[in-house]
Amino acid sequence: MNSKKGFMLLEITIAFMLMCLLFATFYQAFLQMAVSMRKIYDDVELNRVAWSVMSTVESEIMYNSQQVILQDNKYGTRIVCRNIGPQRTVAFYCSKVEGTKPKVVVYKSTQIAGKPEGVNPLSSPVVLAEKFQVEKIDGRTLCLEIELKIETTGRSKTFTEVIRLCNGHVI
Amino acid sequence: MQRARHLVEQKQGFIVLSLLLLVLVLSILAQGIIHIVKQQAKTQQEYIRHRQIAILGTELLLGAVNQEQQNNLQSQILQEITLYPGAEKIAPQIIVERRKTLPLRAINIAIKYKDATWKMQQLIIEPPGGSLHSIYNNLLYSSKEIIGELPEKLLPNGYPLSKTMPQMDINGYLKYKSNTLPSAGTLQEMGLLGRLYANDSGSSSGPYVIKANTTIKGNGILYHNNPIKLGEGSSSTGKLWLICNDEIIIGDNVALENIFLYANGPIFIGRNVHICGIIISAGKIQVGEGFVMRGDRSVLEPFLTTCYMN
Repeated sequence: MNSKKGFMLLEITIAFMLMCLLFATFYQAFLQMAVSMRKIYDDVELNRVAWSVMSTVESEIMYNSQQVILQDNKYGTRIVCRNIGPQRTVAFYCSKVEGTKPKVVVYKSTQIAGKPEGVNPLSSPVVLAEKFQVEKIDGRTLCLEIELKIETTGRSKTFTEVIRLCNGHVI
Repeated sequence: MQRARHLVEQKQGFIVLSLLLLVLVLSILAQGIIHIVKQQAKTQQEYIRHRQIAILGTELLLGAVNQEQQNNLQSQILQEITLYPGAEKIAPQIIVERRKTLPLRAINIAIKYKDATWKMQQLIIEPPGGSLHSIYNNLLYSSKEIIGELPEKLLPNGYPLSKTMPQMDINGYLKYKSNTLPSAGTLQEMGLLGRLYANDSGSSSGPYVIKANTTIKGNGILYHNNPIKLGEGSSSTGKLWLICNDEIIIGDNVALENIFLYANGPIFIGRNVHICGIIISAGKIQVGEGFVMRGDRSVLEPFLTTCYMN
């Protein structure tokens, strides 16, 4: 009668054992799958941060800047954008965050004449900036290269974008 | 052991069940990964597409403005372009609007993508009537009277003094405004962005007042249907056009560089005002003591606004 009503604990245990056996047999495949999943998650995070940084930098340079000044700093390039609105200057750069584990992240600083400077991180806390380099191509074009790295897994990717200025020029 | 064998013999289905469970877990995992990858690919494609459209639109606009300055550009639908990834077709459009009475040229780029249209605009604006209009032979002109002491070289010449000033279609500026008139905070924090500022014709706005001691930085055209009042001690540094359908009142100790003042009503200028530019009024002009003016016709050169998303 019992057999018609459902499964016994013993039956479930045997099923579980079989599952484990199968899992052990295909362990390499599962491991590979887990690694791939981790990579995908990391790539998603890296892309998300890169697009966010790139879009912010691009819209500022492309539409709102009348003068872009490139300066070298310890962690790459500091981009200083003099806004069309002459009261405002925006800068993008990498800097180290001091703490138990110092890390380098991308920052946006906004300076309005007569007011204190406002600084905000652009990248996520788990993503480190390995490279933030800008190269002048011509008077109206520059090439931005960012290398980002996931802090925990070390996975990194480089993103490159060419940005044209609509309303200004590069110095 | 005997019991287990007995169970296996009696219910062989539970082995299949365990396999099914495993397959279920694996398929859920695989589904999850596929979903994430698909989402990622879709987002990436959208990101790339928006960048492509922005770059294409911007380049087209810059090219169109250059061409317009050299010869007359015509509105046109450009050849269809296929964008990859996704092999999506877009047909950029150049729309040129010319308003001869202002005169003004608006160059628009429109790119339809999915349900939305990406638009970018740049305006080439001349002073009312055109910068070559004979009224601008005067550095300072009133169609009624000028009250107050003026340096001799500023006295009207070139354009015959008459009771009526030629009608200029300045209301047309409203259609092409990109921003509303800037508040004191905006002037303080941003300055002018090289655009045409005006309030909606429907809005019941009174005079536009610029607070005392304001420094107006940047280039811009401020148009208002009601009076414009410039507070005392104010100054401007960029190229500034104040165009008003009513009166313009300029406070004491104001210093304006590269200024073009145009009013369909009277213009009242306070004491110790320094102006470098052109003043035109369809009403009277009243100047206070210590008025210093340096005529500068370069302010009449066409005003090329910045490129902006529309």
